[in-house]
Amino acid sequence: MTRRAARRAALLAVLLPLAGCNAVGGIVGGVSGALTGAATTNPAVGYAVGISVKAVTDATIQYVMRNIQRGEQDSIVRVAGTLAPGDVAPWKAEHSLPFGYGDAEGTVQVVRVIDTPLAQCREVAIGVGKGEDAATIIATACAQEQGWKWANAEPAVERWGALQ
Amino acid sequence: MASGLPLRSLLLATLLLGGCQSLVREGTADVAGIGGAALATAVTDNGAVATGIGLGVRSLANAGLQYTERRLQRQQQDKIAAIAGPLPIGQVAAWNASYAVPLHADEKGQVTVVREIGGAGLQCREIVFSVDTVVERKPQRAFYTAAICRNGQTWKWASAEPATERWGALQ
Repeated sequence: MTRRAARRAALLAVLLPLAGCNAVGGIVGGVSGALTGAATTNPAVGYAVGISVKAVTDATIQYVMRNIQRGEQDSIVRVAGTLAPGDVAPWKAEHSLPFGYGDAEGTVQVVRVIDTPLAQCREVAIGVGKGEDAATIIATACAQEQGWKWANAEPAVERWGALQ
Repeated sequence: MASGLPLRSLLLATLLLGGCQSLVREGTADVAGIGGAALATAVTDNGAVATGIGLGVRSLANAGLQYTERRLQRQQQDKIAAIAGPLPIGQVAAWNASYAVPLHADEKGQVTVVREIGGAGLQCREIVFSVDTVVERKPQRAFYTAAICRNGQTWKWASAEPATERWGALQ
């Protein structure tokens, strides 16, 4: 490793914890692009390699993050599906990732039964976080063939703002 | 170093934009960006400037694609809201949305109204809708809840965005 590459690797190591998971793709892409650019001297090739690495890294991280989130949603509504309205029960989501990354626990209760001819749904109040981060969240869940699933639809497009 | 600053801000913008986009989206933007960078090398031999132009073109292509995705999703929301708006509570109606653009698969399902949510000068409803698909030749149904409100004569989707603390991998 050249001294320059070592410096970039060190920079990457510093940036990673700062930037959070979602920015990793861009940083990895940028570093790969810079390294490739240095190797080929053609900036277009460097750019193409950097951006492609970024796309793959981004997609992988998003896939992992979505799976963690889906796991948490499934754990919560699985408990909520068995509850009688008014009962409070604990939920726990474990992902067997290093350092317990993404693991979470809290409480859940059914605040309203949404009985429709189309589907059986429930409005649930979920306790998340601990200490200063503790919060209550309201969500909906519906019974599907394979069990209870999170049912909140996407926001109105006019409210997507910076989400997309 | 004159080109350093705009390049850096472009990089930053791309980082912020690029946080949560699918491979399809990356692909579209990448092809445009790589094309932009390649064109730029023809007019400048400064690598940083070429990359900057590439990133700029990429951001533009990305914005164009996002605009199309937003337009298609709004069409679907409007469709479901228009059917659920006049529907009596407890009745079930079918909805379907087909698109001229291959970017979004045609979707269909059913919708029902759960309850009215009224207030001073406003008329809203809570709805439950299904999205019916076929996976491995077996029909599958997913159910979702949303809110719609009446704006003048049209019913529009009214579900707000999640709390920013709950965006997680969304952005």
